[in-house]
Amino acid sequence: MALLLTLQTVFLLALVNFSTCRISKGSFEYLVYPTESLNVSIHSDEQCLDIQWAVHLSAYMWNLKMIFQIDISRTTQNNTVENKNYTTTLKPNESLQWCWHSALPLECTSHFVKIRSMVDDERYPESRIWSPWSPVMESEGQDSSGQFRIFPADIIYAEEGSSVTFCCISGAYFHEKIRFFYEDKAIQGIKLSSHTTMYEVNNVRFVRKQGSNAFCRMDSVIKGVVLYVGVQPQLGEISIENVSATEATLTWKIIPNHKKLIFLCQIEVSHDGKGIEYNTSNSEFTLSGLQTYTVYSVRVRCCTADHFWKWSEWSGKNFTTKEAAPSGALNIWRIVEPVSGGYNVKIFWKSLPPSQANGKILNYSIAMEPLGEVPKVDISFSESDSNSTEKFIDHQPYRISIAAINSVGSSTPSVIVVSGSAENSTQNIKEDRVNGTRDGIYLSWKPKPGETEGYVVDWCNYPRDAICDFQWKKFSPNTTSATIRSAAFQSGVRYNFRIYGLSTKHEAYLLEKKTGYTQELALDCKPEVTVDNLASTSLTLIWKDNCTDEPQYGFFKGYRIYVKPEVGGSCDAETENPAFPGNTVGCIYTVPDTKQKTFNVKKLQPNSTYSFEVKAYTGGGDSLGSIIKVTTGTHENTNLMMTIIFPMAFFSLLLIIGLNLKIQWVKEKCFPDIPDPYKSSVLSLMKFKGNIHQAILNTSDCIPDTIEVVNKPEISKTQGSRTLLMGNEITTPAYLYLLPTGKEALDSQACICFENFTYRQAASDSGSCSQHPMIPTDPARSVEPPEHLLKVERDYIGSLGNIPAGEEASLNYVSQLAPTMSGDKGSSFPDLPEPAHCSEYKMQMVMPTGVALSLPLEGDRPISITSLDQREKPC
Amino acid sequence: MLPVAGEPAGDSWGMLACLCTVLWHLPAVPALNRTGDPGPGPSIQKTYDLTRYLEHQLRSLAGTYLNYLGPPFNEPDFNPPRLSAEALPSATVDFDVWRSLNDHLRLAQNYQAYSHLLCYVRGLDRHAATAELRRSLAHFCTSLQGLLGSIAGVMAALGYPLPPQGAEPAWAPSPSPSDFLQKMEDFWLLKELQTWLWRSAKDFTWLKKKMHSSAAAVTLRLEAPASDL
Repeated sequence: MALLLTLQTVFLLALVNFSTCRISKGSFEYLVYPTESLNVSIHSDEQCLDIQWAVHLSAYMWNLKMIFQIDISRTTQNNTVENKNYTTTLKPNESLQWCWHSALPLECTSHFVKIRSMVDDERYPESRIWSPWSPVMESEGQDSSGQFRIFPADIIYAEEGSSVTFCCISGAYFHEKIRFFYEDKAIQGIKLSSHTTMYEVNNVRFVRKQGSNAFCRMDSVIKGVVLYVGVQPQLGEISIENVSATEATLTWKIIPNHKKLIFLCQIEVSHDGKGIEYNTSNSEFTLSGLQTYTVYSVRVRCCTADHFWKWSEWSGKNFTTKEAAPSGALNIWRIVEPVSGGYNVKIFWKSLPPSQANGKILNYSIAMEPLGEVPKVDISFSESDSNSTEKFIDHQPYRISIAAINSVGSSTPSVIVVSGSAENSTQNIKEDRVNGTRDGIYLSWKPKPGETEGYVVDWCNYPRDAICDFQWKKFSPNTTSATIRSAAFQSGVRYNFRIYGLSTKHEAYLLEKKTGYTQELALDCKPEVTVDNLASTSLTLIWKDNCTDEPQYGFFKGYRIYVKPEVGGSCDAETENPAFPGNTVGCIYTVPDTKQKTFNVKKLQPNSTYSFEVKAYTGGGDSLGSIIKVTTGTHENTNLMMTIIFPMAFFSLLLIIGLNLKIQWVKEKCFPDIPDPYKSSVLSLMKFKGNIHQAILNTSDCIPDTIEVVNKPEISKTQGSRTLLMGNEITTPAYLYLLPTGKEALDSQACICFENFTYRQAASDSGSCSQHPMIPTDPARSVEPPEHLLKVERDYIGSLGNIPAGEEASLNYVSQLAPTMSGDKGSSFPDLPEPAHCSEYKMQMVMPTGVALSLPLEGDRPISITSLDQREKPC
Repeated sequence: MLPVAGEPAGDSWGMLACLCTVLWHLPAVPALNRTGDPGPGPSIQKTYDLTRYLEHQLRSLAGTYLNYLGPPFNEPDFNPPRLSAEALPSATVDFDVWRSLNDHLRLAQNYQAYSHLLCYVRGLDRHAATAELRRSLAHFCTSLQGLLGSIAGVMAALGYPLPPQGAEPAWAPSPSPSDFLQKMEDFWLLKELQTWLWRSAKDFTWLKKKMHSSAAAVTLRLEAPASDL
C-alpha cells in the first residue's frame, strides 16, 4: 500500500514537472492550467449556449480549486455580453461545462467564447494568477445564411408580464425594409448586424388561446412565430355557501379573469387527515356526500387549461357541515347488583362515533318501563359527556331504552330488559381459567340454545381499581369465540370475564365466567422453610408463607422444592426438571397443592450438606424462596449394628461352635439314628439266603387286627435268654392273639399272629432311653418259637378252614430289635456290647419255619431272608 | 378579399342549409316527378343557389376564425405569398384558359377541389376554441358535402362521369412545422374556399345560361355532349 502511494506521488510529481503548467517567475514557480479543448454548441430548445472545456490532466489529479473566467461576446469579439467567473474544484473524470442562457435567440447572430483560468487553491496561494485566454470559439448565427428568417423559430412559451426577445434576419433582402410586429404592434429594433435586428417585446400579455403572433414582414412576405403566453392565475378568497349537513358550494375568483382563457382548477377537500381531490373548469363547485357536523378543510388552485404554465397559489378555507339527527343506535350494556329491596342497575353506553352522532350530542334519554304492569314510563336524561347511569329497580323486570339526542333529533333507542331474578339464577356458574397471550385473552363459550340475538362479553380494564373501567363487547349469534384485546391489559393482572347470551327479547343471561391473565407473573411472596425429622437420608421440610391466589400475579398452582447438594449427588425419579438454572446440579420436587406445607425429602446422602429452597409457582414462574442449608446425620444403623447385632452374632457363633462340639451328644439325645433293617446285625445272625426283601415285613401291607394281649409270667421262666434281662424289669413275655375281625380279612390275609421276642411289655410301654434291648446270645434258640405259642398258632390256623395246610405250617413271625449301629459295623456280632438306643425298631420279619430253623450264620452282613414261596403272601 | 364578419353564423343558416339540401333532393323523389325528366336545368340552379349560400356562410365563419388566428391574418388587406399552402387546390386560373375548358372539365375540377377542401375544413376543428365555432364549422362541412353531391348530380344529369375515386388524394392534412405556418395554411384554406365558391358560382351561372339557351333547340341534348367533347 505504501509502495503504491509512493509510486502515485512520484508519478504525479513527474507529471507536474514535465507538464507545461509551471511558470517560473523570479524565484517562484506558479501552477497555471490554461483552458484546453474549448467547445461551444447551441441548445435551441433551452436557448442555452453550451460551453465545455478541459485543463491538463494533472490539475484533476491534484483536485485543484480553480476559477474560470468565461467571456461571451455577441456578433463581434469585442461586444462582450457575459463575463462569468466559474469556480469549481476539479475532480477526475468530471468534465467542465457551463450553459449560458441567452435572452436573444442564439441563432440570431454569432457568439464568441474565450476562457482563462486561475488556480484558486489554498495549497498554492502563490499561484493565484490568470492563465492566458484560450483561443476564441465561435457559435455561428443564422444571419449569414442568406434567408429571410425570424428567431425563435419554434413555439415559444413565456410567462405573462415577462419580456421576449426576437430577431429578424433579412437574408438577401434589404434590411431596411424589414418590419417586426408583435400582434398588430410594430416594434422598434436594435440592429445587431447588417442582416440582423433584435426586437424586445416587454410585458407580454395573454391575448388568445391560439397564441400571440410575432412576425417579421418585408413587403408582403411574412415570417412569423406564435408566442404562447403562460398565465399563472391568482385566486381570490374562496367563499362557501349553501352549507347543509352533506353539501356545500364553493366559489372563487380567478385573477386575471380572461374571457378567452379557460382555467382548470383543482379542489382538495380533507377532514381527519383524509383527502379527496376534484377537478373543475368552472369557478364554482358543489361538494356533496359530506359527513354531517364535520369540519372540512378545502383549498383550491387553478391553472390555464391549455398550454399549462403554472399553478396558482393554494387558496383555502375551513367550514363545518350542519348537524343531522343521530343515526344508528347506542351500544349499551348493564351491571345488575342486588341491594336491599331490589337491584341496582348500572347502565353503560358508548358514545356514538362522529359519523353517527351527526352533531353535538346534547344529552341521553333513559326510559324505564316496568314490564307486566300498566304502561308507565319513567324518562330521565343524562349529561352529554356521561356514558353511564345508575337506576334502582324492584324485583320485576324492566325495559330500559336509551337514545342519544342532538339539536336535530334523537338516535334509534337501544333497548335492554333487566331483571334481578335472571341475574340471581346464574350465581352458581363456575369460573373457568383461561390462558391469555400478549395478543389478548382468547375466550370461547358454548352457544346458547334457542334463538339468540347475540353474545356479550364484559370485563374490567382495571379490575384492581375502584373505577375499573367497565368494558363490554357484543358478538353476533354465530360467534362463539373471541380474543379480547385491550390496550389496558397488563401482565400479572387477573381479568374476569362474564359471557352473556342476549335473547331476542333483549334479556341477558349469564352463560359462563372466565378468568385469566394476558401473561402470568411469579407470586410476590417468600415461603420460609424449616427442617424437621432430620435423619441421615431423609428429612421433612415445613414451610410457612403468605402466598395466595388473589390478588397475586398468576394462578397459584403449588410449590417447587429445589434441592441442591453441595457435593455431587443425583436426583431420584420423583424430581422434575433436574437441570438447575446455571447448569448446577440439583433436583426439583413439585408439590402441586397450595395447601400442602410439608414435604418429605428422601434418598439423601448421609452426612451431606444440602440447600433447600421452597418457592411458590405460577404459570409465570417461581416466587422468591429462602434457602436453608441442612447437613444430614451419620448412619444410625452402624451404631445399631455395633451395639446389638455384633454381640448377637458373637454369641450365636459361640453357640454354634459349642453345639458342633457336642453334636453327637445332642444327636443322641434328640434325634437318634433310625435303624436300617437292611443293615441290621440280626440279618447276619439269621444267615438268610435269597432275597432279603422277602424277609422283611412291610407293615403297610398289613391290616391290623384286634390284638388281645395276655400276660403269661411263667413263660419268662422257660426262656433262658430272659435271664439276661434286667432283674427289676418285667420278665413276663407277651403273647399276642390275633383275632380275625371278619371272614374276608381272613381270606385275604395270610397273617394270623406273631410272636415278638424282642419286646417286653414294660419296654414297649415305656419307650424310654434307659431301656436296654435284649440280644439273644443263641441265635438258633432265640428263633425257636415257644411251644405254647406254636400251639396257639396252630389252633388259630386250624380255625381257618380255607387256608392251605402247607402255608399254615410254614408261617412263623420273628421280630427283633436291631441296634442301629450294627448296620454300620459289619463285623459286629450280637454278643458285642452295643450302645443303647432310645428308639425301638418294631418291624417284623416273617420266615418259613423250616428255613428259620436252619439259618446259617454266614456272611457278615445282617440280612433278612424270607421264603420264596411266601413272596406272594408276605404275612 | 375576405370580408370579416363580426358575428358568427347563427343556427338559422344551418336550418337553411338543411332546407336547401332537401329541396335539392326533391326532384329525385319519383312521386313528385310527375312531369317527367326536367333535364339538368333545375339541378344546376340548385347547385348555384347552394354555392351562393356557402359563400355567405364562409364569410361569417372566416371572420370568426381569422380573429381567432389573430393579426396579421385578420387584417383586411393581408395577402401574403402562397408559400406554405401548396397542397391546397388553387382556384386561381387565367381567364382565357378557364374559358377554354369545356363543361365537363370545369365540373370535374370543381368536384375535385371541393373534395380536398372538405378534408382541410374538417381539420380546422383543432383550433376551434369555442363550442359555437365548432358548430359553425360542422354546419359548413355539411353544406360543403351537399355542394359536392350537387355537383355530382349535375354531372350525372349532363351525362358526365365523375372523376375517378383513385384520383382523389388519399391524404390528410399534415401538421405544419410551426404554429405560425399552420395559421398561414388555415388562412389560405379559407381564402381558397372563397375563391372557389366565387368561381363555381360563375361556372354554374354560365352553365345555367347555356342550358337555358340550348333548351330552345330540339337537338340540344344530343349536340351538347358532342360539342363539349
